[in-house]
Amino acid sequence: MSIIEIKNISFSYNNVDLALNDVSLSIPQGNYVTIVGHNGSGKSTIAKCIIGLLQTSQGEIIVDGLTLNNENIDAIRSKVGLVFQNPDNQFIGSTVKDDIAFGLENHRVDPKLMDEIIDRFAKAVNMSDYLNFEPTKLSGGQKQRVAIAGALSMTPKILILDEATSMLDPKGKSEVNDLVKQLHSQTNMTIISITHDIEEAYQSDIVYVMNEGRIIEFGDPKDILAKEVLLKSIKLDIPFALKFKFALNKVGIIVDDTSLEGMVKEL
Amino acid sequence: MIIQVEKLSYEYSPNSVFAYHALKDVTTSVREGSFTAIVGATGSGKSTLVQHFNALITPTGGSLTVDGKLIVANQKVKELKPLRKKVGLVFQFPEYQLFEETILKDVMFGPLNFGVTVDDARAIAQESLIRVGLDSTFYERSPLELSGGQKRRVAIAGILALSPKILVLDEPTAGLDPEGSASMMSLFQNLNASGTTIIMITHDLNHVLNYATDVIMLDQGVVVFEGSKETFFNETDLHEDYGLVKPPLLELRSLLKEAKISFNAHTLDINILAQSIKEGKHD
Repeated sequence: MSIIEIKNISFSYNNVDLALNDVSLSIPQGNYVTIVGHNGSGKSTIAKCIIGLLQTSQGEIIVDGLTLNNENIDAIRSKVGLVFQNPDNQFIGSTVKDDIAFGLENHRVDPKLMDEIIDRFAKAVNMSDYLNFEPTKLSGGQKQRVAIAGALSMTPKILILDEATSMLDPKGKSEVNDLVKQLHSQTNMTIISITHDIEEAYQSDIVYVMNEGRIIEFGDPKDILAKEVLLKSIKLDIPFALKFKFALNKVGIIVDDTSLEGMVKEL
Repeated sequence: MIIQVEKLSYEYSPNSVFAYHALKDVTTSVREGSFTAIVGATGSGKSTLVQHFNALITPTGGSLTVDGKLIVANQKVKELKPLRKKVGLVFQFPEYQLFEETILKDVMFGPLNFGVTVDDARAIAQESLIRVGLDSTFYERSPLELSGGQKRRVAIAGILALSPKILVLDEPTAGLDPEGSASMMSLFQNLNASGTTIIMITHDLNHVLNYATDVIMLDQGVVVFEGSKETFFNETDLHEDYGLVKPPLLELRSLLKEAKISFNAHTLDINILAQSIKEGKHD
């Protein structure tokens, strides 16, 4: 069953150029989906349309059975957790604990229950030891993990990450990516990650490739991300593992696997 | 050596409970004309070290010589002003520092500050903007209208307008998309080819692999490696010991090593690597 159903939506920021041009997609419940594309391809615009931050000029968006309209917008937002790019722009509380509490307070959660909820989600993102830390004492990766904890504490069915790792150093990136992978495998949460990171896309269940407001390809990352000419034409690179596979092919060594570990095993 | 660092120490908030030794007795150097990468985990002292290079801070112990100018502990910063022109320092996310009404004015600000006439400053600014790939259609636009990558180009043009001999960059590609990142790196590569010494702090060992000539690695305020890029990647496993994330090519090399597959362990080129695996199979 599709948890998100998008039918023929279009959107323009300036009424001239279409940032989204007749986009349709259908995301199955519980999948880890990545949307790739270079800057300005429309990938972040989709996320903003799904939660009604931007209003589409045509088409229909259905989230978990509810059609996006003025009546349903709050119900839909309560199903979707969102984490943005800049770790500094979304840290609201003066400590990790306050930051996670902020969302709960907004949702009028009983203060007596809050500590337990905060502890649980701080633990889920491996930040239990930092509950009383100020944001300035945290690394970028740690701040993003707190942002994810805040989003998770609303128990959303869908988690959307909008370039959540692009401002992090490689260590912070792998911390956040590992956490997302773990969440995906342990819960039935649908994860939509909007990313530049082709290596991350390679790990996902379904990848959508966007260019100039349209989805130009989608499917299994192992097939889609092997399309070197297509990806180069829209200024994206192919994953390293596939580069190695092609380099081996070129010298006449054929391997079947698509991961580095698997290919080395075959050699 | 265009920069020679001698037993340099730097302590934040000395004589207070917050005293913190960011650099301890550091001796290292940077070759003129090199593309030197400075790597190390967060908090290893990378940013503190490069802030000495244009005397933004001065040592609390030891000394350094930058292009012939000696800087010692507790020196008056005033006499070091000429260094600011020689050494351009680009912070992380420099786009946050744009402030003028128009792009051209923003880039002219530096030269005007160093006493250049308005006409000359304009000519210099135009040339700098061309070097970063922004044409005349950008001159009169507000910096606020630009994309992140374009803003960063304006900020870098502002530094280039002082024609520095040494360009120091703190994580210059953080937050850019792959295309923006690659074109930014090729800009620095071109500047380096035309003689500018480039010193770049980075967490991204892929950039070190693809662009640097030399590497300095810091850990907890101490230099733990200095030398050529080739030595760094081929003869040491230092980058692994200090918790940096390996580029996929090095990941692959470790996997091949573990599986006892023979291959050319000195190449950083994937096609040569594949060829060497094939040759190994025939032996």
